[in-house]
Amino acid sequence: MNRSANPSFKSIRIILLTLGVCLLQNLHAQSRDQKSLDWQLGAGNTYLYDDYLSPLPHEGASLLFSSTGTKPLKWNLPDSLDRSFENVKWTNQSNFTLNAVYGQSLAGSNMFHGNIELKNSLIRKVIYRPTWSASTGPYLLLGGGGRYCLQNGNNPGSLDIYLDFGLTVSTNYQFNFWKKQLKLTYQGSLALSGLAFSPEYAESYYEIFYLKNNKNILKYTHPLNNQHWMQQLSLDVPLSHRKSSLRLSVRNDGHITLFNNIRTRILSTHFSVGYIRYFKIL
Amino acid sequence: MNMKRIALFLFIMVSLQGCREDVNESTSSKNIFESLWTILDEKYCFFDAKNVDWDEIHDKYAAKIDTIPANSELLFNTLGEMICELKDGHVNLYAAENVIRYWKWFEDFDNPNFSEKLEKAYLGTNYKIASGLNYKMLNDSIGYITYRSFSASITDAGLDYILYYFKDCHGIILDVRENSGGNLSNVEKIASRFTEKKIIGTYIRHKIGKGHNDFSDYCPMYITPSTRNRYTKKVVILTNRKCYSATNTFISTMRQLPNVTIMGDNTGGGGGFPISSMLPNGWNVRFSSCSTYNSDHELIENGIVPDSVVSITDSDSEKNIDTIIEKARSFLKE
Repeated sequence: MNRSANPSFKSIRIILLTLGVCLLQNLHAQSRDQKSLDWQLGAGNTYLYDDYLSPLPHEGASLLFSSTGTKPLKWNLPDSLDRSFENVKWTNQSNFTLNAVYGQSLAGSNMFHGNIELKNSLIRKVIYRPTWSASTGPYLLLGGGGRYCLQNGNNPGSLDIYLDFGLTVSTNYQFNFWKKQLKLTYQGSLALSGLAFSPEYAESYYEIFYLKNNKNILKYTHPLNNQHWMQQLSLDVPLSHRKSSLRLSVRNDGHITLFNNIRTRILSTHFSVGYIRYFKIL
Repeated sequence: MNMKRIALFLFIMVSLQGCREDVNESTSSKNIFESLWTILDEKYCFFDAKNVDWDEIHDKYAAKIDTIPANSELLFNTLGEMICELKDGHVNLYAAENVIRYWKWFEDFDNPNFSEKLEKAYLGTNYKIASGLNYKMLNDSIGYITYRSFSASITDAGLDYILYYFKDCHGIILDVRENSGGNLSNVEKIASRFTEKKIIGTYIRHKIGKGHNDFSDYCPMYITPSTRNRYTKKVVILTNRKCYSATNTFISTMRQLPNVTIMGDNTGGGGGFPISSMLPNGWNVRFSSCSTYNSDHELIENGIVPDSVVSITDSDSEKNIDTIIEKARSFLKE
């Protein structure tokens, strides 16, 4: 078998290369630059559809916790001593997201969903104006979770494991309001390719994990079989001496997949309140 | 300009929420019927093996459905009648107040080849119990074990003790009559105690698409000899029509072993792996989605014929004698 001709192997190579670049970025990060860390807690609504478990959609309340760390990178740093975010071109952003959902169908069945995602982005500022800027860059995301349907006796659960390589864009606009400098930021990301786990159409998890029949469970993903996006609009309100801010945001997540004739759709909107802390490590 | 961009982003954000699955969630009788028919059409695995024309069944029942009130008992029973055309004990329709089931695989046979009265006559009250297995040494040095549900958990320590206890006897009678299935992991756990080499117990094929013949390759279910206590002397397994599902798989696996003889009546079958789904009105449906085969790639859905067909006679039963157990005892002492 010619491994180089296999799109899965090509995809793995690209993903590993990007992962390596992201790790190297972290190693070269300047320790004396400003960096930020934020924590957000949100509540909202999530729509669940997984026809491996049920042909009925489930919908209900969900909670979202996310934490994002952002730091400037060594590349293309300005000569000036001020190396705050406004003056650097390259930043590295790492994000952790935890999501929990309890959904119900119109028929009264219940479904739980939980998900964890780790994301690392390499972002370059492409437009810089005094009041607004725009950035873009690649990201790598590792996610996992699953759903559990209480009414399904024989196949109650399904599992998600995925690795996404994608593109993120962000733009922010700074303005003064009530003697404070506020910042409005939009960030969106979209998966372009990657790998995902999926059982075959009616394959049981017993067969995969106990009998080790694991052919065709690793799928190469692309926008036609995996639409995975995140977009967030947030408003940062400085709290004190520009060392911290309050963040109010609305976030929309979507993950639509079609692997092995199994369709899943997870669509959510969350309103979050968060806190950002800026650090300057000496 | 910036405000326009922000408005555009907000528009995208809201419009993406519209990517919902187009599902008809009506609880009308027609939609419930179509939902059930479609679930089975796309995922049930034995249409061709059972020579069932599912399209013809659709037309037959669609004609009746229009006049039936939604969520009525009549609708439930009519849909039940439809799924029973599949003649599969793993196909059920569940409502809060009732369960539709197909039990003709044992109800159609007059002689159950088992009675609790006879079981008590052989086991008495001083039998031992270890991890779901009841056992006793019969007076002619034959080990007698009963296992009535593969859902009853099995422990390695329990099996170790039982096999050690019977190590000097002529042979073991393993009575799985009335055992209508349970966990397949228990099949492997018990079978691994009676084999000296790794064997393919059964094969599984699952659906890989919506077509009636979209199946995966054969996936073997291996049985590897246990590293703990094993029994390699003669073993007789007693069967009747109520041996179903995991028990059927167990018998198909065990009959390949040279030291094992199957005795009694045909098994009931049940060679499908069941999965569940649901209908828009909250009723649940269970059905076979993966099919199992013996080591010769033959379907075991319709049951297994024992090596030695034996039935309990009325005259023996009146004398508290289990004809099948007696035949097994004679065989083991030969």
